[in-house]
Amino acid sequence: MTLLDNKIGLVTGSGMGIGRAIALSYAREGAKVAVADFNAEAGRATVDLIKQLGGDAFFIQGDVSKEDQVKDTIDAVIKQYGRLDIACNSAAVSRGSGPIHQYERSVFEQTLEMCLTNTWLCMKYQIPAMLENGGGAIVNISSNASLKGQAHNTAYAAAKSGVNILTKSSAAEYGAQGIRINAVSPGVIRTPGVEKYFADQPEMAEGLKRAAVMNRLGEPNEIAEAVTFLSSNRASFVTGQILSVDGGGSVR
Amino acid sequence: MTTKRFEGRVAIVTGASMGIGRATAIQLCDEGAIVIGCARRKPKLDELVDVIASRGGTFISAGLDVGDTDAFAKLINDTAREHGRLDVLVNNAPSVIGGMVVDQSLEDWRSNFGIGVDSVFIGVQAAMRIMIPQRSGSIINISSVSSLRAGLASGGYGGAKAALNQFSQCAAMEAAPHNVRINVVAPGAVDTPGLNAATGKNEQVKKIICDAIPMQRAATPEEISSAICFLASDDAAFITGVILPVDGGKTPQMYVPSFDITKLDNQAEDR
Repeated sequence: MTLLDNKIGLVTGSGMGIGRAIALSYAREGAKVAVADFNAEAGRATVDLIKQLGGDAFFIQGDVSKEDQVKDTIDAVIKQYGRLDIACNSAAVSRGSGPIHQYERSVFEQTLEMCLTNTWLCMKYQIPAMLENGGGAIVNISSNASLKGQAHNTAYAAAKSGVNILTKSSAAEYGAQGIRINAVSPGVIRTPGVEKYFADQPEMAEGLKRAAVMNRLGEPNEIAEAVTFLSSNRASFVTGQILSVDGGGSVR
Repeated sequence: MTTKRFEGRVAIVTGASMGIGRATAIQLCDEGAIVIGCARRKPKLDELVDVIASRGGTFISAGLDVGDTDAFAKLINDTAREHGRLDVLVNNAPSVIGGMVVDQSLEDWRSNFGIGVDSVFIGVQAAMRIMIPQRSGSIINISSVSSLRAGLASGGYGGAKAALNQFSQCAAMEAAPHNVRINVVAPGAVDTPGLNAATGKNEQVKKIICDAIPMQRAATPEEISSAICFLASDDAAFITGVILPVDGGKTPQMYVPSFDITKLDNQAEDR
């Protein structure tokens, strides 16, 4: 018996990096997994990896910042597996920012759309599906950028702070109806994006490692373990929390 | 759960005779750890030896008051010497002395800090001295949601637990470069003998407490221990310095003024 036996899971943004690690962790723990991503090639590769583990998964292509595509995504999960028990909203795209007076409103709005509005939309359609079968668990992926001020990252930070309060407020709304809603706040994780950054600017790597008091980068799987814990019955009394997985990066 | 995350690991749990500590000892043993449990009430602990043996686990009973800091440090050092390692320390032994500020004695105030802060400091220090050269280990300090939100008659208890939180995060910083992790679990209402004592077994009071929790109930001790065991395990290898409330959504929610606890008979005294 494993942690998520017989659960039906959905992971958005699971084509690569942290999202892929979460989808794989759900599958290893016995869940059937709907892999959602806007990148079909990446998403299908995650499904293949799950099938190689002997797991059950299928791919849904879509942009979860678009309401009709979110609705289609949830409908596809129900059509394929009959219900939805656990969901992780990890899809996020930052359009970057910079000093406030030097970047465009469109950058701010797009970042909000693709980090915050998409999370709200996903919950809006995941929650009724979960209420149908008496409850569930949602884990939103936040960021340590949401916890403290940081220069030149205002759009992303504001969006992820929004994710935190969405998490707390919705946990208060649905606690009595059996849906737990938490967030995981990653520190600096060895994702393909960070790896590329290291390749381009190797001198930055050491500095980024020191963001964590553990003096290393986190691995995508270490985020996935925390998401899996929060999705499982091991966290049956944990809701509304923002759990930092950051090697101690946020204590100081 | 049939996972064995703690196979070959050695753990110490304080306040292991009942409630959260007892549940934690059982779960750690179920998952393969050798657990040394201490508490003041030795007979209660000795019963737990049999309970855990019947589940196939190994639990060693140590009659000890963690308020005796020399004895507590000695237990930690002896454990590491006898078993060759120390992987997990759970500082759970509680001391809850409630009291309104105008009424509380300095002695009661100090009692909250003595068990809640001084003993934990000694425990963390002794464990870090073993775990740092070992280059691995996980310490979990049990705080309370009283450390995060103000409450009537909890100035001493909540103040001590807030001190514990900050101490834990500072210690986490010092331990982190050595792959030693220190985290805090902050339980909300838990269905334990402690909660029964605090509410005078008054079901009306219990209902009021539970109604104010989004999940509308208190936790079982096992729901707290499963969070403790997550943080103790390698599943949380990149988590340190966190304060994790396990409270059914109580602290993340804005306070909703639904009742006035001071209007309940005997409440101020009992809490």
